Amino acid sequence: MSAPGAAAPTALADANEIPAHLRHPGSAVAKWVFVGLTVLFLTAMIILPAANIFRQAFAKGVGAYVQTFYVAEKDTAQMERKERRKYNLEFSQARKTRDAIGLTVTVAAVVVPLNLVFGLAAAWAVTKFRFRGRTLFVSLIDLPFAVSPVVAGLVFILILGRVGFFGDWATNIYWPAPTSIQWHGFAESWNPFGFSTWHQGVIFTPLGIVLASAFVTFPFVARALIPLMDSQGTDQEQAALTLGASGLRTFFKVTLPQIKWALLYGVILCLARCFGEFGAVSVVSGSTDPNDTMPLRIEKLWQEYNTQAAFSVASLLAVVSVLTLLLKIVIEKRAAAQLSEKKKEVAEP
Amino acid sequence: MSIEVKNITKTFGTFKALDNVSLKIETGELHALLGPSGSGKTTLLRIIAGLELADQGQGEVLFNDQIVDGQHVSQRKVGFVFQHYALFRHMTVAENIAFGLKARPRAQRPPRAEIKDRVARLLEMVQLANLAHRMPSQLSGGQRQRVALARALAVEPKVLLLDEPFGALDAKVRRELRKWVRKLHEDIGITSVFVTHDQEEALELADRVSIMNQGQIEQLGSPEQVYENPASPFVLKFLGNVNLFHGRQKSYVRPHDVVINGIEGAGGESFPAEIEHIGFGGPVVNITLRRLDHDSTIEAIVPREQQKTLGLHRGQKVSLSVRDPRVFENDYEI
Repeated sequence: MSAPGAAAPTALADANEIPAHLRHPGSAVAKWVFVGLTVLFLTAMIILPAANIFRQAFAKGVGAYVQTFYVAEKDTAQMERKERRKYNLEFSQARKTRDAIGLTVTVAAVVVPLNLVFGLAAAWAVTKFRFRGRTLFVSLIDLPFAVSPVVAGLVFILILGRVGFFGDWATNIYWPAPTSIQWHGFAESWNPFGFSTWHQGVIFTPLGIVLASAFVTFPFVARALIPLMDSQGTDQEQAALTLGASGLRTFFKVTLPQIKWALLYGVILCLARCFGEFGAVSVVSGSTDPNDTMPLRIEKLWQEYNTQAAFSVASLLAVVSVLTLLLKIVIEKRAAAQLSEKKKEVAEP
Repeated sequence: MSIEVKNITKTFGTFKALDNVSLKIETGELHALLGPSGSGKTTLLRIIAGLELADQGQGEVLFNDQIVDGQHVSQRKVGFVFQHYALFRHMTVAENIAFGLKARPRAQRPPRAEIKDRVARLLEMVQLANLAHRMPSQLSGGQRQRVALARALAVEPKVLLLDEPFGALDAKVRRELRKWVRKLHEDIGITSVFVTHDQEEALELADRVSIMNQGQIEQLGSPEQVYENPASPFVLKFLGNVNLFHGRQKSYVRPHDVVINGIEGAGGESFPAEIEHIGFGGPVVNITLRRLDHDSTIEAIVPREQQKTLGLHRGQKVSLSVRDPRVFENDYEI
């Protein structure tokens, strides 16, 4: 493997080259057996299913594929009853699918920045400070990985639901849908903004979905940062402070540039998981159509025997996955270069 | 600017790193904090810089007789050179040096051209003008050290604090850089404090030395004073090899004060000994001897000429005498 960029090709090449004395003599057979097994597994478990997604999605042609997401508005007055019913169904299905995509993106747009901030804060806390209970803190960061997402969703219902642990207080919360913001002017009140849509409660609303997604995807950013920030220590930040830099300047000019690739790596993983999360979201969404995210929508279409539509939506997630994978490869390499460069610098003098 | 610390105590958990330490460093002085690891010297330096705070309500730090305890590290205007340099490794050498100037609030920030000019002058001073656009990872240890120094000096600090400045360098570079730092200090005359565990470095470089042990200053004085008149067995032992002669009281003798088969110590006591090993040490030879009347070994340093004229060789039986033995009060053998 060789790095494409000129950033640190030597460090990477060195790390990946197995020294001569560690190479097995006459291991050609073993090598091909292992490579063959891996290829077989990947083909059966990943490549074929992925290819199948696209085959099923386009099974009825490109037109049907597009119709899954968008059906043009038509005048139904002249239609026959049967035709009209079919058209109305298709039209509403396509709109629900579009709404599901919209909700998924919205949730991700809220969750990813949240976890970017909290993940960064958590990584900062455990790597730049030493305090009592730090080890416990580190394991708590990993907790969402260990807990089944369905259980995570149920926990939120138990805390925030109608028969909640602390009563039904959370069901009396009213909150406005941010997308329904309207301009009222200053005539009626000091606040010129208003909202046309309000939600009640947390569970079975998009807010519940945000909470569940945030919980499940919390560890990604912190996990990506901790090893790097651990190896960097606090010397450079302290140097910046002695040079008169403020805390904010130190963060943006010294810390952030050195963790940016690892941070981006964590964000990408967080984003991918957020798009694909099913279990936790399924529990808190309440199975109502407006609360469907893409994975929930796929499930519903599948249950309705609408195989082609289900696979069409799935194909979008598949594209997201492939993009994530490609980005991940590039970023991982940069992040590894950043880490190994740091180690080299510590080892050298 | 003078630096003064008064009655500083610092504890980490149950470990007392500094125990009621007071010290005054005069304006323009080059001062060494010398001691073994764990003696509290780095902690003291970091408290002066403001990177650590002394225990609550314990003592104060003064710059030019002004208390600076309330000032954040970024306000104290100290130049700090870290043990492993702590260069910003995503910035070039020039960017590293310019960092402190660019970090100033807008009103005090020099114009861009002036920053560039100052960086160029500093690079000239640390003899790295041709490496301005290199990254720190492309520099040798000694070069990184000089960049760290230039970066610290760029903000025109009132005091310069150096934490084990030569600790991570090999012996030759270390000697060169030592001379260079001494010259630099004389040129710019900034009050400087450096931490080291290398007694040779401290004695050669510093105007005055504080010798620290277990969170306290054992002795403070010029290199000559502390070497010639050590205040305690610890200082004596720490400042160089020393032989322990057991008698009614312990007496300590430096290797170069051991006289072999000579007449100088003839008036005093002499001890029979056998030469165990002769080691080459350039202009001198290091001789290890075993006392025949007592189970102990003695280190002696004699000029090579003398070894030749006396014909000293391994296994030879000789008589030892000492000049300038040191005895400390309350230092009896148990």
